[in-house]
Amino acid sequence: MKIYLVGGKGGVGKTTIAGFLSILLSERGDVLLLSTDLAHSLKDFFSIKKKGKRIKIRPSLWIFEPDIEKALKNYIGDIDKKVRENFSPTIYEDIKPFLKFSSQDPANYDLVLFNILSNEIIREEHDFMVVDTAATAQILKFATLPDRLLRWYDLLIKWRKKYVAMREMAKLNVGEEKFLPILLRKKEKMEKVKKELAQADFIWVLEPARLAFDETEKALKNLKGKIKLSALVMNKVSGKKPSVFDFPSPSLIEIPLFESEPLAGSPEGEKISAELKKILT
Amino acid sequence: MEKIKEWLKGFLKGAFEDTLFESLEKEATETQEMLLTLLFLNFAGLENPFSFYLFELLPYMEINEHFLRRMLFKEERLPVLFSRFEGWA
Repeated sequence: MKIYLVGGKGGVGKTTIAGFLSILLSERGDVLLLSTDLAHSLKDFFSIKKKGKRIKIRPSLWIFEPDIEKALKNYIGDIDKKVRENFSPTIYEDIKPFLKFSSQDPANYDLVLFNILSNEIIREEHDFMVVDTAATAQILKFATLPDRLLRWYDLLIKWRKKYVAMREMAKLNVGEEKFLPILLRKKEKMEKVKKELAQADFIWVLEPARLAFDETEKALKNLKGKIKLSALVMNKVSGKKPSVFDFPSPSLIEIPLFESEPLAGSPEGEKISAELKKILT
Repeated sequence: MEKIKEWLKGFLKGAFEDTLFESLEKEATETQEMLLTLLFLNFAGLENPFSFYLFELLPYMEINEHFLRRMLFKEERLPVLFSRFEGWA
């Protein structure tokens, strides 16, 4: 699966670019357009009123706007159920408050989204995945999480292996080892996610405005070496060309400022698509 | 003579084998607790961004009430566990 991550400062037109890019890609294969922004706007872009998180909007184009709060609650809820089944009531009562807190903790939102993204990568149901991301910090998280998580898994595997060996030597009978295989499976999964994300094309959207420039400069510095920048899309260009511009990029694409906001199916879309084609070749 | 042999056998088992197994068991328990500590730093009030991914592993761990009590600061053995980090991380 080929992944395109679309990032940029709020309001520069990430959804517009991600949307047109997905339409373009859907001519070449099956596309999933995933929104990792808490305030989803894909449906607005495609002018869709239909309810649902995962909607097929064209023969080979799906949009996915996950309900993050619900996803987090479900994820922790499943674990809660298993803990209740596997442990004594005393232990369950001790663990329960932590799980409950985590199920409502907004700090976990990006992690849930990364989980959703990882699952899509593993499932590989589509030829392309375009990710309409939220803030810069989120992309940084997505880009660095696999490596950091893998390091954690290695650490845990090391300690668990040590424990299993000690346990055998001490002839402790605790039955079949379930934990280590799960850890190894998780590690394997994360290695695949890491590999796929390392090959992802990162498209940074900005507009000719001071703040967007500054954020671009900072973001690209932070993301350097962690993610492959394949294009800078300068959106809403009108008249004067921006004077300060020395970002290293394989391709710079300029999208003019339109009188009306370009949505899916609008005549302006043709012009945007023509420009975005440069990214794909 | 047989009685002495039996006694000696028992003595040696008690003096060496049992203590060996006991210390192995202790070491195994400590290793296991170290792993649990790593897994559930959040439970001890230490922020760990990975704990979200580690919750999934929770149902498959062997957790005992005493350990949990220590993690929740109901007993003070956490510093002892953390001292094992030294020279290692």
